Amino acid sequence: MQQLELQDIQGLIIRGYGNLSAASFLLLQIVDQKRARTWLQKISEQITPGDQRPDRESLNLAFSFPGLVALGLDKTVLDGFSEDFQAGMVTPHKQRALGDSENSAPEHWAWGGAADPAATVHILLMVYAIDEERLKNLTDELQAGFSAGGVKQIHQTLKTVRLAKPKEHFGFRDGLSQPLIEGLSKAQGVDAALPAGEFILGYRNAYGLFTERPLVPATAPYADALPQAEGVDDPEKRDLGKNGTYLVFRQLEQDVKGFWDSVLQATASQDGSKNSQAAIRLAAKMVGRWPSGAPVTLTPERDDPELAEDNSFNYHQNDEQGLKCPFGAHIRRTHPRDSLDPDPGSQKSLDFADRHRILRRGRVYGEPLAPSLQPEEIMAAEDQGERGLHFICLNANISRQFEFVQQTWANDPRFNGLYADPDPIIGPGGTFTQQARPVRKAHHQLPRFVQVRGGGYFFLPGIRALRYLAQAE
Amino acid sequence: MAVVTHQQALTIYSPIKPEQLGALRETLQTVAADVSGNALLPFGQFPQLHFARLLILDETRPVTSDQQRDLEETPIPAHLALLCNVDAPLDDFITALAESEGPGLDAIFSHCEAYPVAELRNTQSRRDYLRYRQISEAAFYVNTIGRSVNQIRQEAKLRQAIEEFLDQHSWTGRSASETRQQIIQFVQSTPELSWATMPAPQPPLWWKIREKAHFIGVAILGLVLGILLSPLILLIILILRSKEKRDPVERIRPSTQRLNYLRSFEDHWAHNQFSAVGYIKSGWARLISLRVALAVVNFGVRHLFNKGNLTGVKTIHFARWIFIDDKKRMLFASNYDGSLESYMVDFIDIVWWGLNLVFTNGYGYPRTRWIIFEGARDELAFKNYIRNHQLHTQVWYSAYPELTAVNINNNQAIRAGLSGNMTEEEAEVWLQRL
Repeated sequence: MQQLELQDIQGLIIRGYGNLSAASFLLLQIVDQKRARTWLQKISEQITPGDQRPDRESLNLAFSFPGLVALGLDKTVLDGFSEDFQAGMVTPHKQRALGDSENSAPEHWAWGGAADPAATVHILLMVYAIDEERLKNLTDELQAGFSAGGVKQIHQTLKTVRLAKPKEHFGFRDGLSQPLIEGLSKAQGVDAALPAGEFILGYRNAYGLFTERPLVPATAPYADALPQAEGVDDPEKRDLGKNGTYLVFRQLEQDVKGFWDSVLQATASQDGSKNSQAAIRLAAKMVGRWPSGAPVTLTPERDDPELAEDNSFNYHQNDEQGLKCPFGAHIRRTHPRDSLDPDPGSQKSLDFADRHRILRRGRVYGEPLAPSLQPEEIMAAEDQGERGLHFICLNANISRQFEFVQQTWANDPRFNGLYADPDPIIGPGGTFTQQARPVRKAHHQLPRFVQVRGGGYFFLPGIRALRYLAQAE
Repeated sequence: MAVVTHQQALTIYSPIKPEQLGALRETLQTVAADVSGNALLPFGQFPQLHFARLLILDETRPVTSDQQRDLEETPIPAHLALLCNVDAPLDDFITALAESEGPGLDAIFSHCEAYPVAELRNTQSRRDYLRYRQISEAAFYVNTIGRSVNQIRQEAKLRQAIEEFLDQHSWTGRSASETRQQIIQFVQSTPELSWATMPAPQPPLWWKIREKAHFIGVAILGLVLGILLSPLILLIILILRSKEKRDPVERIRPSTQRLNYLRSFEDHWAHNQFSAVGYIKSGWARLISLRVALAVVNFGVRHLFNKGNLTGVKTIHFARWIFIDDKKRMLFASNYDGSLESYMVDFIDIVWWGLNLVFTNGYGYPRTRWIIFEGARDELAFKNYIRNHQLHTQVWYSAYPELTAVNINNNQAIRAGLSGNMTEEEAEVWLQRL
C-alpha cells in the first residue's frame, strides 16, 4: 500500500467538503506573470491540504493548460503534461466524442469555449464556506487582491446552491457511488478500493504503473522543493505532478421542466391523461435510481427510501437482462459494475470497469423548480430561471477515465448491444429502451435534457507543486 | 443467390510513381468525398464488399538513429495499398474491379508503377495487374465466417421492421410464445421480408468437411512439429528472451497536432478503421517467431474464434496482418467498433497476450517479458506505439456504417429465431434480443 502525502494533496481530492454548504468557482486570467507568481505564493498558504478537515472555509486552485503557459513554465516541463489535458475540451474531435454539438457546441458556451484569447481561462479558484455570508466575505477578500495580484476575473462568479437531501435538480439523489481510494481511511478493509494512482498523480495506478506527469530536472531552480520522481529511469528528475491530478469542469444546464414534461408525455395513456406515478417510474428507469437514491436494480417497482444509500449491488446475477435496471439507464452505463465484457458477472468484468472511474466533486447551481425537490411538485411548478450542475470530476488519465465514460459508455447509442440509445439523462437525445417481458418498451425521440454551457480541463497541483509554479521561471 | 462460404481479404500493394504522388492524393480525395457513389470508383457498387480502404504509405525517412540503421539502410519508396474484405469468391470481386465502369481503377492505379499504359488497358490487363500486385495476408480475422454483406443488410432491415411492428402494438400480458408467433406472422405477411422465415443458408457439406479436415490436419501437424522441434523452439524462446531485454523501445510521444489530424477522421460512424505499419526486428529468430505467431493466430481465428468473439473482444469486424517490403515491415489493418481509446483499452486489458505474441517482433514495441508478458500492459507506452505507427487512411468504405459487430450478431440471432420451435423459456430469451 502506498502512503498518501495528505498534507501535500489539495483537500478536494480527499473530500467534497459536504459540511461546507456554500461554494463558488472563480475563473481567472493571468495578466501579469510576475505579480501573478507572487499572488500564487500567497494563495498557496491558504490552500486547504487533504490532512485537514476544514469546518469553516476552504480554498482549492487549478490551472488550465493555457494558464501554465501564461505562467511561463518551461516548454520541456509543459510537454510532460498529458496530451488530452494539453489538447483541451474543444477540438472538433472532442466535440464529437463528448457530444458537444448544436446548442451544446463550444461556440455557444458562456465560458471556456471561445477561441478568443481574451476569454481564455487560466486559473480556476474554488471557494467553499460553511454559509453564504462567510463565502461572500472570503470571496470579496480574494477578489480585492486580484488586481494587485496580476490576475483578473474573466467571467461572473459561478455560484452554487445546496439542495435538500442532497439531490440534483431533476429531483434525484446524486453522488452516491464514488470510488474508494487505497490509503484513505474510508477505504480500509474494502476490497474494491482502487489504487491511488487512478486519481492522484505520482502513485501507482491500476496497471501498477505511474501515469504520465510533468517532470522537472533536479538542477532546475527551486526544483529541490519537489519530490523525487518515482518509476522513471532518470533519478535526477523531480515530480511536478506528484499529489496533483486532472480536474474536468463542465457547466451542465438542466432542462428540468422539459425532462418531466417528456416523461409525462411518454407515459400518458391513450386518451392523453397524464400519470405522475408512471412518469416517476420511467424517470427512475432512465436514471437507474429512484428519487430517494434507491437503485432500481434492488427495488424495481417502487421507491424504497430504506435502500436510498444501498450501493452494494451488481447487475449481472441480479438483472442480466436489464428487466430491473435497463441497459441504457444512466447509472448502468456510467458505472456498469459487472455488466460488460469480458465475462459479465466476473471479477474480470469488474476490473475492466474499474479502469474507468471518476471522482465526482460537482456542485448544483440555480434555484430548484420546487424547493422540496419532490417530483410531483417539480412537475407542477412553473418554469423559470436557469439551473444545473457544475460537474467536476477528478482523474489521473482524462482520456481513459472521464472521456471514456462520456464517449464510450454515455454517448454511444450502441452501448452494450443497444442500437439507438444514448444516455437518456446526459446524452444528446434519442431512444430509451426499457427491457421488459414479453418485449421491450421503446421511447423514441426523447430530446436532450442537459446542455453544456462551459467547461475545461484543469490541473489541480499538489501544494508543493503549486509553490514551485509560483516560483520557477 | 449462391451461398457465401467465407470471407476473403484482398491486398494490393503498389509502388507509386514519385512524380505522381500529389496527383494520386488529389484523386483519393475525390474518392473520399463520396466513397460509396463517387464517379471514379464507387465502392457502393460492389454487393460483396464489406469494407475497403485506400492508403498511401509514404517513402520511409532517412535513418535518424543508430539503433534503426540496420533496419532502414535504403528508404522504401511510397506505396499505395488497396485493402478489401469481400465475400468469396475473391476472383469474382477482382474481375468486378477490373471491369468497373467509369475511370475506375485506372484513375487511381495509373499513378502507380507498372500499371498498363492507356492503350493497353482492358479487363484482362487490369486483372493481371491486380494479380501481380496482390500480396497474401499472413493472418486474417473475420468476426463471423460466412455471413455475407447481403445477409447483414437484409437482417438489419428485418430487425428495423420488427421493431416498428412492436412499437405499434401493446404487448403487456401476452406470453412470449404468443408474441413470437405474432412477430413471425408479421414477417410472413410482409412480402419483402418473407425470406427471413427461412434460416440463413448454411455452407455446403463439402465446405464444412474441408474446414474440419483442415482443422484436424493442421492441429496434428502443429502438434507433431511442436514436439519434434521442441529443442529448436526452446532455443528460439531463449534467444528472444535475451534479445527482448536489450531491444530498443520507442519513447516517442505523438504530437497533439498529429493526434488531432488522425482523430479528425475518427468517430464518424459506428465503427472506425485502423491501419498501421512498422519495421520487423532484424534477425532470423524474429522472422521465425513472427511467422509462427501469425500462423497460430490465423489458425485460431479460422477455427476457434470465428463466431463473433475474439477471446472476449466482440467489437472487431475484420483484421489482417500482412508482410510487406520483403518482410522488412508489417502492415496491420482492422475495422473495429467504437473509439480508438476503447479499442486500445480492449488490447491492454483483454487480449494483451495475443498482441504481445505478434508485436513483440515489431521494432520499438513496449518491452515484453517471455514474449507474451508486459508489453501492451505498459498502457501509455502501448498507446503511444499505436498512435506513432498509425497511418492516415485516405479512403475508407463500409457497407454498413451504422452497425456494430454486436448489432450484426444480434440481428442474425433475431432472424434465426423466426424459424423452428421454441419453448416458452426459449421464446422469452429470444424476445430480449429486440
